[in-house]
Amino acid sequence: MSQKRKTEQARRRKTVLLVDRHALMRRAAASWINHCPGLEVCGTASGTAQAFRAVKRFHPDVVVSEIMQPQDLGFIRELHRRQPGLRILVFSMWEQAQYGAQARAAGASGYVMKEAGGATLVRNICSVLRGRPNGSAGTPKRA
Amino acid sequence: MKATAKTPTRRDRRQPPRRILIVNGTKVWCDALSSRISRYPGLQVCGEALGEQAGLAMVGRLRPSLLLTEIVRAQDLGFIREVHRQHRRLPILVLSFSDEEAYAPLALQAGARGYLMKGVDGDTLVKGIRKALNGQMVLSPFMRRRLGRHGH
Repeated sequence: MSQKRKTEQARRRKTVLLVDRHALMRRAAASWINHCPGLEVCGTASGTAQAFRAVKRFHPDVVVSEIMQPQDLGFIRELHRRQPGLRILVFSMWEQAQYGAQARAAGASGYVMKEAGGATLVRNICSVLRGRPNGSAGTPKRA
Repeated sequence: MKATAKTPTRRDRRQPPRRILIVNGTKVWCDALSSRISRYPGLQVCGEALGEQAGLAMVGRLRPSLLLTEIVRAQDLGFIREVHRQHRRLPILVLSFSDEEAYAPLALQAGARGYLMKGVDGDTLVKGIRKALNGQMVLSPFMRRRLGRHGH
């Protein structure tokens, strides 16, 4: 009984796919996200090829992907092209003022800088899932 | 029995936790390192600093058992040099995005006890922290082989 209820509860949770090349960051972010009652990490990927496979397999509600280099926006563009309805939150080392608009143009639904902490990351995931234009934690800055 | 990151040594059970100070310019990395390290027995994160000035002050105030810092630019070596000058006995472990071939030898010269790349997992990092706390040098297997050849 309780097992069934648990499964139903788990089903209602929104699923998150984490893409980050650093094992430490994947583990830490996964634990923050899993602590949030409405969210669940359905998979993680360390690179783009693995990420595409994981998206196909897990059908996440949102993909949280880091951007280490501006070129990584190509991955966001391709992901958006393959799955236009998929929400993508960019988690970036780069200034939002500089790359926020580019990320948006590539298909990202939100942009959060790594300068923000773990709590801000989780808040932004929730905002993106609610269909807010950007994280509630950060007003979108434009260059 | 081979000690792993998770197994507390006899010392861990007997002694108060070893205190780690994290100095990292990126908040989310401070959070990530702090939340990973605190899961291991015998270790405790006693403070986090986003900048080097704050980091240096916290080393003096909190007297950590180990400093975990990063190298983003060549200037960051100056921070390691300064901490090492002021606190000779404090083990400094560098966890960094920067290329280990270029920066690991420089970090060791500046006074660090070890250098690991940010791609490592929590177990490897914590094994490194424990080794550094025991006075051993911490390097990736690749860098150990490389530096070993030059007689380090």
